[in-house]
Amino acid sequence: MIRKSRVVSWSFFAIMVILSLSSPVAAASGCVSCHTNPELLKALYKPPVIPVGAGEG
Amino acid sequence: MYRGYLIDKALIGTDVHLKAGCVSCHRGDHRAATREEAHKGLVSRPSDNIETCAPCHKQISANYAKSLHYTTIGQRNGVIKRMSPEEVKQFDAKAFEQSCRSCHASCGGCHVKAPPVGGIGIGLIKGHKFVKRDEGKTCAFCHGGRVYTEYTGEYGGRADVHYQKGKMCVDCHSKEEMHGDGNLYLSKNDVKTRPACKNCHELGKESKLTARLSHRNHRGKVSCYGCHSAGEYRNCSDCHVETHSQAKPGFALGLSRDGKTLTTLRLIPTIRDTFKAVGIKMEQYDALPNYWDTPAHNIRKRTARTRSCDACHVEGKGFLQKEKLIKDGSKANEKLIVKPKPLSR
Ligand code: HEC
Ligand code: HEC
Ligand code: HEC
Ligand code: HEC
Ligand code: HEC
Ligand code: HEC
Ligand code: HEC
Ligand code: HEC
Repeated sequence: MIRKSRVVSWSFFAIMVILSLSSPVAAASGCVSCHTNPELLKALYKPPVIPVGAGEG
Repeated sequence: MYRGYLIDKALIGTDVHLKAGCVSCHRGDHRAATREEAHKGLVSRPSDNIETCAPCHKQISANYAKSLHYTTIGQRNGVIKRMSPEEVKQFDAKAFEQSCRSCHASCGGCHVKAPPVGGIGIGLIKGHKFVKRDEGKTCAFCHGGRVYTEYTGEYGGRADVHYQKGKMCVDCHSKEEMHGDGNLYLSKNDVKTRPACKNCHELGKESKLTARLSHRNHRGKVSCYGCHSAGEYRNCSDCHVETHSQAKPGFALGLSRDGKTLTTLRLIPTIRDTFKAVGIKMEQYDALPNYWDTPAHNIRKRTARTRSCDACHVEGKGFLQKEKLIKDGSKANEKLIVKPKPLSR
């Protein structure tokens, strides 16, 4: 049981990643499906540029 | 970090906040097929609009709209006394929103997401949980240039005794202080719910004679920080509207704003040409000094000054001195200089 669902979710991740890298993400199920998917978010994430200077406070 | 955008699945369907769906707070389009379309009209910081939380947290939200964390009016009032009425108008138009207000806290900045500092953020706390407190991920980011690192000793100084005893910011700074009490204060010095050492330490019953005598002799003359600040704390200097300021360690004893009490002073970041880039000269620059009272967050029971009366009464160690004042500083700085009388023995 457990094993089966793992296989299913891993292939789901893989598809998501591939889709996200090629063309626009083609996921149908909205905000939650992307924002609970670590592999996908990792692929989409762009690190910010670090500015100089410390703040007050 | 991408984790800053990752939501803990277990919260969906269990946390009351996520029940109405993402779009209820963030807008956008949950039926869209692409990221771009889904994010069209997205509000990434929904609680910046207090109305997002107000329907269910009515009193807190009403109070918060007037709190210093939201208005940041304390910063404004800290500088406008140096300006002519004409300059104040210019300041409000060109610098307040863009510079001061950009640091204001949204509800989520303390409860949902570590606020970004200088463009960098670590994002969501515990996968988008609505936490009551998590100082290391909230207060620490906005107050990390000075207070937080001073408190934990992370920048190299001695950690605060309260930190070592396991206290964090919210143990002293109450939610009433953080949310505001419904009054529109102009400065943190007016806030009625701010903490005081005396709330927790009743003096007069100390077991040690030197402690009792020190406390009795200096009531109203020396602040608690004056003796119990461990040493160097963070100071900011050279603030400019475009580049912001730099933080460096330093220590100075001088007169508090009440004109009577000796206390720890901190070099503040405003200098003569802070607002030069937006064309404000600060015609009354000398109305305020460059050193302000600071409640240093590096308290220790034993310091160089609790060990020796002479540190102050003879040597004047760490006292503000004319020769050591910053160059081209405010004319008001000299009024802060004091030298205690030698003790007669
Ligand atoms: C639909 C109503 C609703 C909205 C809108 C709402 N809350 Fe809440 N919130 C609640 C309820 C109900 C609780 C108490 C939940 C509990 O005790 O488990 C709560 C509790 C909290 C808590 C305390 C969590 C804890 O661990 O005790 C925080 C912090 C919080 N909300 C912040 C917010 C913020 C910030 C917003 C706006 C972005 C917001 N809430 C919007 C209903 C709401
Ligand atoms: C998003 C940034 C941000 C966060 C998060 C934040 N602060 Fe602040 N804080 C500020 C700014 C800006 C001011 C200055 C407001 C003003 O103009 O007076 C301030 C002022 C204060 C003050 C003095 C004013 C007052 O209301 O008494 C205290 C105390 C304080 N913060 C403590 C905290 C603590 C404790 C936390 C965490 C629970 C925290 N802050 C989280 C930005 C922040
Ligand atoms: C500067 C930090 C800060 C900001 C901004 C802030 N809060 Fe809080 N909030 C706190 C602290 C501190 C507590 C108390 C935590 C504790 O006692 O453990 C708290 C507690 C709460 C609670 C728990 C209820 C309770 O009475 O303990 C709710 C709900 C809440 N806040 C909602 C909000 C909402 C809504 C906003 C915006 C309108 C907001 N907060 C803005 C710091 C903040
Ligand atoms: C009750 C209102 C509310 C709901 C519903 C809600 N969020 Fe949030 N979200 C917030 C708040 C508050 C923040 C922190 C930003 C701020 O201070 O307003 C936030 C921040 C975020 C961030 C970080 C944004 C950034 O730029 O760093 C993401 C990603 C996010 N939410 C995704 C979601 C997703 C996906 C859902 C649906 C499962 C969701 N949110 C539902 C209130 C909400
Ligand atoms: C042992 C109690 C205590 C703890 C813990 C504490 N503070 Fe304070 N804090 C105070 C006191 C007392 C004041 C001075 C209040 C006054 O007289 O205005 C103060 C003042 C402040 C101020 C406003 C003055 C200034 O220098 O700008 C800020 C901001 C602040 N604290 C942030 C924090 C943060 C962030 C933390 C956690 C890292 C923290 N405090 C932990 C007691 C505490
Ligand atoms: C919220 C309550 C609270 C506030 C406010 C507070 N303290 Fe404390 N303080 C404590 C507690 C609790 C301890 C630990 C006592 C212990 O473990 O014996 C402590 C420890 C100390 C100690 C070390 C005492 C010892 O015997 O080692 C000193 C000194 C001290 N505090 C000074 C101050 C000063 C100065 C301030 C104001 C800046 C202050 N405290 C604000 C609660 C507080
Ligand atoms: C003129 C210097 C001085 C000032 C000002 C001062 N203290 Fe002290 N304090 C001392 C000395 C000396 C001791 C004893 C240290 C030791 O045991 O070595 C002490 C000890 C303490 C202790 C530990 C008491 C114990 O029983 O061990 C606390 C708590 C404390 N002070 C709090 C405060 C608070 C709160 C204030 C401000 C209202 C304050 N002090 C102002 C010099 C001072
Ligand atoms: C942090 C610096 C500091 C330390 C340490 C300190 N004092 Fe003082 N003391 C002052 C200041 C400032 C005054 C008030 C101005 C003055 O009287 O010169 C004062 C005033 C006094 C007074 C009152 C003088 C008067 O005319 O009313 C006595 C007595 C005194 N100190 C004794 C001591 C003794 C004894 C110690 C050591 C246990 C000590 N002080 C440690 C700064 C300090």
